[in-house]
Amino acid sequence: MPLADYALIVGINLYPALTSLQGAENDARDFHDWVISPDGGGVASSNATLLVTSNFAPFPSAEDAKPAAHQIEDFFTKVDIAANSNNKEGLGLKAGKRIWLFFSGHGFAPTLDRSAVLLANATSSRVHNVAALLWADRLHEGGWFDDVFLFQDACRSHMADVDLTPPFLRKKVAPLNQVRRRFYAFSAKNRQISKEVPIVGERVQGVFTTTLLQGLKGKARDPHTGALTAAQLKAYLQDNMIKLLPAGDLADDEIAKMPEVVNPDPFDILPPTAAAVSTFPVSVKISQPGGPARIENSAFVAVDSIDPSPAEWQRNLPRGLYKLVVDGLGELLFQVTGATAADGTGKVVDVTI
Amino acid sequence: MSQSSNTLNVSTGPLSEISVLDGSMNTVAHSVGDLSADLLPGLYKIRVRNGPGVEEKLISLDRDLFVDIQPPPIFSPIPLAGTTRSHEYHMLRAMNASRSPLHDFGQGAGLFVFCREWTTSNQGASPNPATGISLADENGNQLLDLGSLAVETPNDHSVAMCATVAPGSYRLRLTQSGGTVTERALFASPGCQTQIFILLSPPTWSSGPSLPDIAGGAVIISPKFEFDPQDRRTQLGEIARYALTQKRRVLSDQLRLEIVDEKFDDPMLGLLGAHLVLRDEPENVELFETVTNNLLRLLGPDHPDLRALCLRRKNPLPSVPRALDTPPMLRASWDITVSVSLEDPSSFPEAGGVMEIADKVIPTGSWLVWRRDPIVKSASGSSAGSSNALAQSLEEFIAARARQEASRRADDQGVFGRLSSSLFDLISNSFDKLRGKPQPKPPMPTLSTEDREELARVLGIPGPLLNSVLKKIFD
Repeated sequence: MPLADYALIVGINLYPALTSLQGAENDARDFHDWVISPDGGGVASSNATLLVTSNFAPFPSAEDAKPAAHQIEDFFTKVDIAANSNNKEGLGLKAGKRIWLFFSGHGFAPTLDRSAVLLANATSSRVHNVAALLWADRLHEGGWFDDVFLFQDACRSHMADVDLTPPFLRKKVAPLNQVRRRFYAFSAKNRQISKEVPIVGERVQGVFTTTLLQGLKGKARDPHTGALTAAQLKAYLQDNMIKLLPAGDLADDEIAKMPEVVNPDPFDILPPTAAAVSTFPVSVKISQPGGPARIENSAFVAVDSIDPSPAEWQRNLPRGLYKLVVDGLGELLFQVTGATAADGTGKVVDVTI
Repeated sequence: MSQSSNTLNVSTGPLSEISVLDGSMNTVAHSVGDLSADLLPGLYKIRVRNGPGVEEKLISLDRDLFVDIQPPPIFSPIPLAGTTRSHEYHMLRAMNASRSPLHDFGQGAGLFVFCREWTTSNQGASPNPATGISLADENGNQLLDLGSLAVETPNDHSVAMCATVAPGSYRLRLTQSGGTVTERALFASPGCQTQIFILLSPPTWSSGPSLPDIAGGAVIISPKFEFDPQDRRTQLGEIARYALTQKRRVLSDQLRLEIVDEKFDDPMLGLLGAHLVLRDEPENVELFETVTNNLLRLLGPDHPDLRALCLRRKNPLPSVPRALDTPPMLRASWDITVSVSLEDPSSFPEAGGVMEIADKVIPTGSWLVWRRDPIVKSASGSSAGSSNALAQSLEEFIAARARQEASRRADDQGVFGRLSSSLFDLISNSFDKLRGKPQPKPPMPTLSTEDREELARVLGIPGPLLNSVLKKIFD
């Protein structure tokens, strides 16, 4: 019997002793829906723990607010017991094949490895937190899972008067022959602020999580192989997070426009499917139409051509790098990043030569 | 038939990271500062990263190509040319103020502190960006309240303090209105001016006024006793500092050449470079020892960051004492002393200024920052509050470990075993209650040497102190 997958999804809006957020719980619920979907993460719902504010509120005091450390602890204890059970059955001291860790809330990360998400009962004098990256590294290095995914949608504030504690699971060393991979993505680089904005109507969501889910749901698949690779998901996040930001935030270098991604291992996050690879609308405007025009892909192979060229040429192309060649006007390079609107349709790529 | 390749050459800033991505977004080439790669003809994306800033360019590699990409500007609290948080009037003010020491706390070295607000509108709202900032001596005695130095300045306000000082360690302190006090060290080396630049920063998780970002304040060590906003090496230092904390690999040939040059005279770049060498090329003994030799020449044997680095020298420098007298400025230097204290507990001083702050260190990025309890101390002279916070965190960790191990044992017992065990505990505890016996504590987990080392490293407290706190918890 194949080893199971697990998921821990935490989304905290309400911090009674700090400022509250609006989109963290939406992000967590959306990720949970994807991770338990058979077309998505495929995690059995009994193995996916969703911890969001509204499951616990109201709280008699800030110190009683949840989700707090105990709820996180229960999950990782469950993981450890699963590994123990598998070991007794001769499957090795391994909890499962994959683990998905998702955290959305307030955060801090003065350095990449001192990064944490605040728990609901955090106050300015006791900043209760979960050191998400330390946990991910513990599970990866110990081989509790073959694949470890960590997604953290939280600001990377530079300092907190806080104590960061390591994971309570004892360290262990993964067997030499175990193939282990990891993919971590943080919504902001150092010192930057993660934005949450209304995406659909008034529903507030994190810019990072929205982009992440667009990618995971298929927009980030490799156009050549159809697989959702680590490299493609990283590129999708890096290229498209910025496109969900309000115009006023683009000039502010404190607002995160690109995630921080740790992907040392090339692998397929999701295998190819029978579904067609997504294409995205491209609107080419040609200042001197009438002659031949063509579009080449990154291997210099023509994927489309027209003669005579019109003033406006509408195409649909998969994600990738392209060269537009128009007789008499020259060449122009452009990229189809796969940016997606809130309704799921591709945003138009405007190319003008 | 195979295609012949073309050569792509990319040049950019000396510590900027260059990545070349193919049409499938795979990284096909990577370098720092400059890149030369033979690649198949095709379309590629070149990405240049300078700190957190990224600049991208698409190229068509249908022949050999040379590409020069201007690196994106970096964020820095130092009002350097070409950074994202500079105003020319801040550069000018800092430059002029750094040359004019108005305070005399001794001779032989200098200190310069520059606190400022930065806004895009140039109309700052905070009249005193040094509110709560004070300078103290190594024993914590206040020398100057920088907030009192604020004068009316146009646009985004700034406060400058320039002093001559005796060489040695000083403290920069932030006292918040609620009473929270944080500190960091400023070490004034003989013949140098140690400069720190601090930006006002709004709170992230709570509402309230902006505060001087003492933990993010950047340091320059100037043998010329002046601030130069055009100094290229200060820019390099800022990128190196970012790389150190964000696990970026930027140790380029150019940086190596700079820091081993016997005429090298930028101590902060040297300290940061030495840390990068130690982290990224630990086997490069010759490079590390050359850099630390240079630093000894520039800073003298008393600089705590140099002493920390020298703990990792294969061949010790006889003139550099092994023990730290005073806290270092860089967090990476502190991490070395913690790591060495695990191997050699006698390397960490048992008393003094370093030990006083050892259980109060805050998880910051580049710089060592610690909590300082309110001035009123307990009768024993110890600062009990911070120690309590640390002890609480350790207790929570140990309790979580105990619960997890109890769950593991229960799982091993199976259902019948758990029921029997629970029934036994219930009967036993009931008898104890009837007899008035105190309830037994659950068994405490043992902490291996590896556990203790990890706790010490993550919490940033030296081995001997950790053992002392754990002993109190377990006893």
